[in-house]
Parts: sequence; structure tokens; C-alpha cells
Amino acid sequence: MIKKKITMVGAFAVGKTSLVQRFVNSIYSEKYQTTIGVKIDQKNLVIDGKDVTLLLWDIHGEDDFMKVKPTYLIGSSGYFIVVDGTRYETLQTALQLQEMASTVTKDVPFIVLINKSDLRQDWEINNDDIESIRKRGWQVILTSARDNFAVEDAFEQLTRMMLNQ
Amino acid sequence: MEGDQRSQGFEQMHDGGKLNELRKILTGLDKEELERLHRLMSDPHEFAIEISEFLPFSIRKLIENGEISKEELLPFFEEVIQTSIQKNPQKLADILFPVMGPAIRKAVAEDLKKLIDSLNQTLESGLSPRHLKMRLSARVTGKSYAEMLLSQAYVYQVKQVFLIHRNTGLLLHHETDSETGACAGDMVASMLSAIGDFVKDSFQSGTNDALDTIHVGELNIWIEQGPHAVIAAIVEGNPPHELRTVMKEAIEAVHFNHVYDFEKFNGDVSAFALSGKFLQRCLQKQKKEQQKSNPVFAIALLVLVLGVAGFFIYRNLETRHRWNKFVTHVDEKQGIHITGNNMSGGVFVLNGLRDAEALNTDSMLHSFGFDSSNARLIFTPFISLEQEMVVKRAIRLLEPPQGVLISFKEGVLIVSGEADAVWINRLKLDYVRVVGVNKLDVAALTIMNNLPDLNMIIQAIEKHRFSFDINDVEMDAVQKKKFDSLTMAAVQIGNFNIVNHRNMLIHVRSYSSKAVNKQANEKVALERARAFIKLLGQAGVSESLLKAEVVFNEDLPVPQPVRSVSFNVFEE
Ligand SMILES: Nc1nc2c(ncn2[C@@H]2O[C@H](COP(=O)(O)OP(=O)(O)OP(=O)(O)O)[C@@H](O)[C@H]2O)c(=O)[nH]1
Ligand SMILES: [Mg+2]
Repeated sequence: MIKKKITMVGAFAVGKTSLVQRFVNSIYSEKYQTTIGVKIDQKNLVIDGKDVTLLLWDIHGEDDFMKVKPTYLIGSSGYFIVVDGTRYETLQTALQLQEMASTVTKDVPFIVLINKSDLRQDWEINNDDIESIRKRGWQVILTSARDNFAVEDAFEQLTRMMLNQ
Repeated sequence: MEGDQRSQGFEQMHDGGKLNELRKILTGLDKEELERLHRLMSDPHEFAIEISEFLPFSIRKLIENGEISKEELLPFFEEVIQTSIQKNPQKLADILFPVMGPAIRKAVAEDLKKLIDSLNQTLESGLSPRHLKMRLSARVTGKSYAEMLLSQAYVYQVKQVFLIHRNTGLLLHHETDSETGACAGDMVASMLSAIGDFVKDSFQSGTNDALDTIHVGELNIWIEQGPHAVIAAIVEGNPPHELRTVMKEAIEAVHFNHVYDFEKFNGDVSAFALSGKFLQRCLQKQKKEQQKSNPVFAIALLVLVLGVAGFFIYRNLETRHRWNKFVTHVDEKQGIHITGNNMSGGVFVLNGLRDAEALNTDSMLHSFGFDSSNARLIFTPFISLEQEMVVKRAIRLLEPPQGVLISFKEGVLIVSGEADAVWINRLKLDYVRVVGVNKLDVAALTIMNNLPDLNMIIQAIEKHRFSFDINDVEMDAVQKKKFDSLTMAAVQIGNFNIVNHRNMLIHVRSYSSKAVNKQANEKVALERARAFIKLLGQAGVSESLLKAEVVFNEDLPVPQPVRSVSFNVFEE
């Protein structure tokens, strides 16, 4: 039995909790309830015939008052950096967080999720921005927790990357 | 010292009302006030106390007036806190814990609620009477069953032990008290690890101040740290300190045995199944002792309890014994087969098959001291071929007269004794109706000759003569009486025929005359004879014994009254 820890990082209100809840419990809520500290969820997957138990650490978003604590990332086999497509500043936060995370986790795989793709017309992040992230050699997946778009794919993709490490 | 001397000199020099007055005019202060000010200036300790009373007030005033900003003050306070933490982290932890405690508890509580819920479920699915009782009282007190279980039975109990990978917070292995059943251990492990991180971060304390106990409601979580993994034990009650030692030994053993597994750990926890035996040692518990009380009372109570228990056990055993005797008794009876004997809802239930001829089981039940309140008999009807049952069935169907014995053996009904010919005749016809019988043996049956003499019968028949006023066979009361005696005699003729293989016939003679219209007369007379035969037939005389006949007076030596009927018996 393989168990893996995945951490969700990103600025506040980008949809980390929504993505986890969508993936684990198939639910979505419009209501915004900010995460305090960390909430842990569990999901069992079968990837390429292997049973994997994912422990998902959904941590609070980074804001001016609360920096993400590096300790939460310790021991992660992979992480998601979540960006809110409708808020450009969340991409900048993402870049800072990636730096911190890669130091703490010693370069485990990660994927950048640009969330709220159902609001594409309101996005402040354009294709050029996305291209430039991809040029860094990072994986980028556009998701929507609301419309259940590419959520499962994202988790399966990261799990695969972790197993192949 | 110097000041004191100076002030003493000052007073000495200017002692007297005039100078004091002058001083008051100049300074606006009297002597006492002046002395207080002087003391303040010369004693920094006094001064500090004095100034502290209005300092916060003046700072607030300064901020309000915009002369100092909070931002300017902040670095100062941060520095102070920083220094304080470096000096003694525990002190700040103590201060902060009441603030953070609830947040931590809330975080864990949710998961432990799940844990308790799942505990509840496993327990409720495997109920034993002991559990049932507990659950009942749980319902009464409104406490959850699991909580009751935890709080009642043990002084302390370690219900679950988690082996948690320190770095990842992953659950490596999980052992639970056998009664408890598994829970969402993976998540609990991660939660605990997150709490550990949080506390460590918040207190910024480095090395040895790792978290070793978390309190959640009535549960305590004891944590024992190792370099690669920690053991977390969910503990109810107050365990002795030795549990710490056991946990320490366990975490050491785990590390000693899994050096390599820790080294290459990538999330595969299979290898750690072997650590179960070390963790199991931590699953300790101590049952609550009986409260000490006056031994005399205790002994009396014990005697009483034993007495009552003994009585109930005795009664129980006695009832069971009696029931079993009843069952054996019933089962021995012919025509009854027991197919099931059990107890349901405090009532003995006996299932079986019962022949209609078998003995009454209800009266047997009563004679053994049971009734419908404590015993139920459920019988399905069936036909038994047991000897006694076949004989009973034969007796019911054949109604043997006194002096006849009936027995049954291997399909043969053996009838012996003495019986009249009529009954024997009926026996020969009817024995096939007795289920189970396929042959009749009458070798030992003798015919009892109780038939009256034939001549007497013939006389009894031939003496009767019925005369009718009109061409009808209407009878008055006297005639009816005669008719009954005729009938009896006629039946006896029938019996006589059967027994003696004879063929006596009764001629029913209807008298007429040839005068006027012989044919018409004959017809009417024949009708009359036939009507009479019909009456006899209705009264039970076989009509094959009777024969209608018309006799004309003209043919008789002695004429008979017309419209009369008489009888003659002949052998055909
Ligand atoms: N339209 C749209 N809204 C979303 C989507 N995902 C999340 N939201 C909304 O965004 C808000 C924030 O979502 P959360 O999932 O709580 O965000 P978070 O990153 O966990 O926030 P913090 O815990 O405060 O860091 C909520 O009101 C969500 O309903 C999405 O895919 N599309
Ligand atoms: Mg959240």
C-alpha cells in the first residue's frame, strides 16, 4: 500500500479547498469559507494498477497577514500551486510560493493549476502569461472546481508524476 | 544620605511657623507635599511605581493625538517578545496555549468525532448483551455509547496506537484495541502531524520541546517521538507513567527494526505491518476496581447476590430439566414426532408432527407445569403408521362391539374375539378404510349367534296386516307402532340372510278383487304394495328383501279385506 502526501498551496481564495472537495467528495460550494491552518482529506486511487492513498493537505492561502508555513510542505511527495485566473496577483504569489516549496520539498513534482476556468472571459491571466510559465518547464493545467473541469485529471497526473519519481 | 542630612538641616534652620508660611506662598505646596516630592526624586523605585500609574494613560493620549503611531511601537514590542521567546519559550507557550488550544482542539475534534462515530458503528454492529446494557444507559444519559464505554469500564485504556512517519505525517501502521475496530487512521495521523507542526512552529522551540500530549475532550493523545516516526496513542483516563516507557521502548524497537525502511521510505507502508507487534504493547488498559466498602456489607451483598443468582440459576436449570423431561415424554408417545426444540423470547417452543389419534399434548404440557405463557407446541398433522395409532384409528372407524380385540402388525389388522355376523360383515367391507391396513385377519374371530330363531322372525313379520280406508298408505298412530315392529323383524331377516348365506324374501301382499275392473284394481293394489315397500326402505329395510305382490280375494279360500297389506316370508 502506497501512501503519498500532496499539499495545496496558493494565494487565498484561489480555490484550493474547492478543488480538494470537488475531487474527494464531489461537492462544490459558492460560499467562501477561508481555511484556517490546515484541513486534511484522504482519497484512494488506483493508478496504473497500483493502489495509492493520497493524503491531501489543504492549507490556508497566503495573504499579507499569514505567510504559508514551510513546515506544512515537509514530506510532500508533490504539490499543487493554485492560481486564480481572474486575479493576476495570485500568479505572483504562486511564483514566490514555488520557490519556497521547492526548497522545502527538495524538488518533488508539482503542477500549476490555473483555476476558475469557467470565468475565462474575466481572466486577468492571458495566454502569454501561461506560455511563459510553461517555458520554465512547469506543468500547467487549467481547471474549474465549479464545473468539475480537469480536476480529476490534475490529481491523477500529479500522482503519476510522484509514482515515477 | 546626603539629601537626608540636608533636609534635616533645612528643617532645623528654618523651624518655625513663619518660614513655613513663606514657603507655602512661594511654591503653593505645603510641607507634606514637598516632602513626598522630595522622596520621589531621590528614590527611583518609588518614582517608577508612581509613573507607571499614568504612563499607559499618557501613551494612549500620545497615540490619540497622533504624536506616536502603532507602527512605531510595534518593532519595540516584537523585539521584546522575540527576546522573551529566546530566553524562555515555555513561558510564552504557557501564555499562548489557552488561545491556541481551542483552535487545535477544534481541528482534532472533528476527526476524533469521526473516530468515535466509527467506533460507535463497529461496536453497535457487533452487539453482545453487555453492550446492549451499556447502550441503554448511553441513551439515558445522552452520552454517546462510545464515550460511555470509554468512561465506565476502565481506569485507563489505550484504544488506538498510530505509528506516524514524522516527515510526511503518513500513517505507517495502526493498531487498535480489538473491540474498537478500524477508523480513518490515515487522516487522524496527518491531523496529529499537522498539529505537531503547528505547535512546533508557533512556539519556535527547537530541540527537545516536541509535543508530547494533546488533550481532546476526555481523550488524551500521548505522543512519543523518534527520529523518523512518532507513536501517537489515544488514551482514555489516566494511564500510569509506565505507559511512557512502553511507548518509548516501542518507538525504539520500530526504529531498530525498520532502519532500512525509513531510509528508502517513499510512501509504501507495507513493510511497517511488522511494527504491529511493538505497537500492540502500547494497547494497555486497566479495568476499574470494585469500590472498597465495608467488608461485612460486601459479604452480605455477595451472599445475597449469590443467593439470588443461585435461585435464578436453579430455577432456570430446573425449568430446563423439566422441559427436557416433557419433551422426552412427548417424543416417546406414538403418533408424535418432535422435529425441533428451542427457546425463543423466553418461551420454550416445540415443533413436531402429530397424528389425530395421538394423546392430548396440552394436558401433558400442563401436567409438567407449563402453560401457554412459557411454552408453545406447534404440531403439523400427519398420519402415523405406528401400531398404536393404526389400532386407534381402526377402533374409531369400525366401532367394534364388546368382546372384540383389535391389533395390528405389519400391515395386517388382526381382529379376534366374538362378534355378531352383521358387524363382521361390516368389518370385512370397511377395514380397507383404515389407513395403514392392507390385510384383515379374522381367524380368531368367532360369530356370536345372537340371531333369534327364523321362525320367530317370520311369525313376527307375518302377523302384521295393514288396512287402508282409501287407496293410500296413510298410517295412524297405532299402525305406525306396528310398522316399527315390522321393520325390526324385516331387518333381522336381512341379517339372517347375510349370516346364513340364505335368500329369504318378504312378499308384500296387497289384496284386491276382480270385481268390476280387474285390471284397474290390480294396478291400484300394486301401487299400494310398492308404496309400502318404499316406506320400509325409508325405515332401513333393504328393498332387495322385499317383493310386491297383488292377491285377488277370488283366488283365496278365505277372502281378505280389500285395501289391506300382509306379509309372507319365502325362501327364493
Ligand atoms: N467560478 C469559480 N469559483 C470558484 C472556483 N473554485 C473556487 N471558487 C470560489 O472561490 C472562492 C474561494 O474558494 P476556496 O476553495 O475556499 O479557496 P481557497 O484557496 O481554499 O481559500 P483559502 O482557504 O482562504 O486560502 C469560493 O467562493 C469558491 O466558491 C471555480 O472553479 N470557479
Ligand atoms: Mg481553503
